[in-house]
Order: sequence, then C-alpha cells, then structure tokens
Amino acid sequence: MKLRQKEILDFITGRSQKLPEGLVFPSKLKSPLASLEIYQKAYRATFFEVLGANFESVWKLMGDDDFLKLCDSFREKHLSKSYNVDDLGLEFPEFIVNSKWHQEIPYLADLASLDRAVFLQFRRAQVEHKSSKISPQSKDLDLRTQQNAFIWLESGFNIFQLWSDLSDDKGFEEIKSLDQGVLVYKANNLLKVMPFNESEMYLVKALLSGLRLSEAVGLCVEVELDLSHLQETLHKLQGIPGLYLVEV
Amino acid sequence: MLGEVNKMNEFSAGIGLRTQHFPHIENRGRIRVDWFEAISENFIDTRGRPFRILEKLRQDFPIALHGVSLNIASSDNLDFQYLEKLKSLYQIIDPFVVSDHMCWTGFNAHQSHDLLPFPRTKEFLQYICEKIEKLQEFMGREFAFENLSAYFDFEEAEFTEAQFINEICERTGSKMLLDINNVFVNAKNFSTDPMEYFRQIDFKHVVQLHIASYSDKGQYLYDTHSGGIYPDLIEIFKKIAPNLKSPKVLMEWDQDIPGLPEVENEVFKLKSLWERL
Ligand SMILES: [Fe+2]
Repeated sequence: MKLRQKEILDFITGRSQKLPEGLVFPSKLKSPLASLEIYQKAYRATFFEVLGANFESVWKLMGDDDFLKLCDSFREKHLSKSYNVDDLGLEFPEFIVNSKWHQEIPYLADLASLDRAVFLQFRRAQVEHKSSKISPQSKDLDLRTQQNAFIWLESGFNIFQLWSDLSDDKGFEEIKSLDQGVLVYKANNLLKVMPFNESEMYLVKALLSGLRLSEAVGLCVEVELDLSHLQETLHKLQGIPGLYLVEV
Repeated sequence: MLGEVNKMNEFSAGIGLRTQHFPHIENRGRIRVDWFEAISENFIDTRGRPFRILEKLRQDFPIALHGVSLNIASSDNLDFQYLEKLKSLYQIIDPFVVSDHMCWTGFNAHQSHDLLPFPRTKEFLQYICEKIEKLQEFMGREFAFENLSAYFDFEEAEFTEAQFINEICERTGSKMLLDINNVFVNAKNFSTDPMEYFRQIDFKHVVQLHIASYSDKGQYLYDTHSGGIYPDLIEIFKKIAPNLKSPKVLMEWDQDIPGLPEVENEVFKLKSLWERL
C-alpha cells in the first residue's frame, strides 16, 4: 500500500505523471485521469486559498493572475509537510526573495513578511492579544511590542510608488511630500499604512528599539527634533495591533 | 460542565463554527442551535482570538471537535506530536464527540490536504483497526469516523464503505459520523443506490450526522458544502429517520458562507421534519 499511496500522492501533487493503476472511477468521468484531476485541482486551489488568505497584501498588490502564477511556482517547489494547512505559507517570503517577482517588485518579500508577521501575531497567537490604550498624559508609560505585528518598510525602493496609481487619493500628495517613514500594519483585516514625519519616525523607532517613552522623547529633544505634536503622534499610534503602552 | 447534548429521542441541531460567524458570536447575536462543531486543526496551534471565541462559546454550548489530519488510513504511523496537541485541546474544550475521517491525507510526512480513499480490503481493515486501537488508547477516548466523498475507488475493494465502517466500529469500539451528503454524492457518481448504503449501516454506531450540499459539475457531483440542503437529501433524511435515535445533526457550510442565522435555518428544516414524523 505504501507504493500505492506514494503513486497517488505524487500524481495529485504533480510530482509524477505516471497514472496509478487499478482505480475505479465514476462512469461519467470516463477515465481515472479525470478523477484524479479533481484532486489535482483541489490541491492547486488549496495553495491559492491558503496563501491568498494569509498573504492578502501580496495578493492585492499583484492581482489575481500574477498571484496565482506565484502560488503555482511555490507549489511546484514546495512540499507541504504540516498537518496544518496554514503552515503552507511559512516559507513564502523567503521563496519570494529568490523568485523572479522579487526582481520586478523589490518590496514584495517585505510585504509578505508583514503578512506572515500578522498571521503569526493573530491567527497563531500564543497569548491573548491586548489592544493599545495610549494616554499621553500618564507619565510612567512604557511602550511594549508584541512579536512583529508591524514592520517598517525600509527597502531602497521608493515605497510611495505603491500608491502611484492612486494619485487621485487625497492623502497621496501628502504622503509623497513626506521625507520618509512608513509603518505598515494590519488591523481588522485591512492593510494600513501610516506615514510619519522625520521627528515622529525617530521617536517611534526609539520606542521600538526598547527605550521608554521619556527616554525616547529625551533623545528627540537632544537632536533638536520638533515634537510639538507629541500628543498627536501618540494618538496616531493608538490602535496599531501589537503596539501598546503599559504603565510601569 | 455541560451534560447530555440532548434528551432522549430529541433532535439536536448543530452548525460548523466558521470564522465568518465570529462577529455574530462576539456581538452576542442570537443563537438557536444546540451545539457547535469546530475543526480541531483551526484551534490546536493558537491561543489567540479564534481560541478565545471557542472557549467562550464552550461556556454556553456543547462542542464537537472534528479533525481533518488524523490520516488514519495512511501507511504512515500515527503522528504523536499532533495527537499530543489534540489531547490538550480536548482537555480544555471537553468535546462531546471527537471525530475525523475514514481516509488518508498524506504519506511519508507529505500532505495532500485532501481526504483520500484507500482499498477496503481485509488486510487494510486489520491494519486500520490496530491503528485505531493505539489511537484510542493514547487519547483515552473513542473516536468517530466519517464516511468519505471520493472520486475514485479501488478495484481490489472487498467491502463496501458501510460494511467496512461497521466492521471497524465492532472491532475497535469506535463510532461513526454519518455524512448523508457524502453517501448521496458517491452513490450518484458511482451509479449505486444511496439507500443501499443506509440499509448496510448499523445505526447503533452512529453518534453524529452531517448534512451539507453538493455542486453539480455535469459529469459528477462535487461535495462542496456551498449552499442549503437539496430536496433529495431531505427525502433521504425522511427515510432514515426511523433508524435514528436522538440524532445530533450538523449543517456543514464551507463556501460562500452566509450569516449564522441562515445556516441555522437549514438544520432547522430537518428538525421540524423530525418533529412532524
Ligand atoms: Fe462531513
């Protein structure tokens, strides 16, 4: 039976073209090939569905056709070894780095890493997720982060080109005019992009590096950054999953 | 701890818990069914939101846990790492039924993520029974096995699926999860009489039922769980109802999933039928 199961599995997953023998099939399907094609199609669809669900931003960015091609090429090189179908995508970002799509869209792997981080943070969370409660008035606050529910996109590529087709969007001009600094994260199944000005970016990076709020603010003052809108900045951070202030 | 799911000779209605229903549950929407079935694999690797919702739901409802990766008919050995995780999930949720499918899903640690048939021979019967005994001993409880919808079969089969599952239940003390839709789909595809299947089944082993819908692909029926219950299946339910005692019937809906109340309505069609019989 071992050999039989190997033959069937290899055929369904596209690793072999040798049609297994001794099968009975529905009469209307006319051949065992047509029967096994049902499973081949389902196997292909599983990759598309799971990767689509867990790498939604990559899918949205690439569109259906290209994303399907990416999934197909991943499936051809990737054997699923886990009982949990969601594990299919754990190596997807690394696969993208070595694919032709990475040449075309240099930040695609970054985006996939973000999706993976969000997946690990939410669907695979090992602890209950706490929502952010930021109250800039409190003095003894410390910023804590949970895993990597968000990432800084710091590829050499001009990130704003992402939105170049959305130039009629009101926010676009504002984003484009900013120096740098984009925090990308997912909340309520939406991919959100939060632009920061230079001072804010400096502050947030300092906080993410583990400094306490007072220390981070101190650092900004030291380098003479404009923090006149500190309260607003903290307000902006509110609601970013995995980023929250705790009292110490 | 919640006790009996339903009283003697009452119909109890369940639906499959899906993420699409989480907002309804979190917002304390009205729930009319008696119990839920959750897919074990969706909860064994997380303690985040899905798990929290399941735990919360368990405070008010009995839960059945249904797996898709046990791989009982595979030539591979049991995956004890997976079973350990299942076991700890069972300890927290205390399900009233635990089940998986009478099939294989992978071989040599390589997964198809599909439910595949195998040759129902005497030799394989012996092999699977030994595996189930090991499984039930390790887990400390009996499992129910669901009949499959399959699009190929094996020339060397010596048993029908109904005979095979009867035999397994007799030998190992395991139970059956009877999926009416799967019986119907296979019977239509392989040009057999679905009622013959139900005549062969020993209903004393049946602890839970599934009802769902299929898609007509022209050359074959496909078990898609993508809509409400077809009249053919309601007719079948009517015919087998006299054999059922206290049926625990679950509506499965996995594609184009509507709101929770609409899924509930489907299983209530069978419930009202039962009450009129
Ligand atoms: Fe089922």
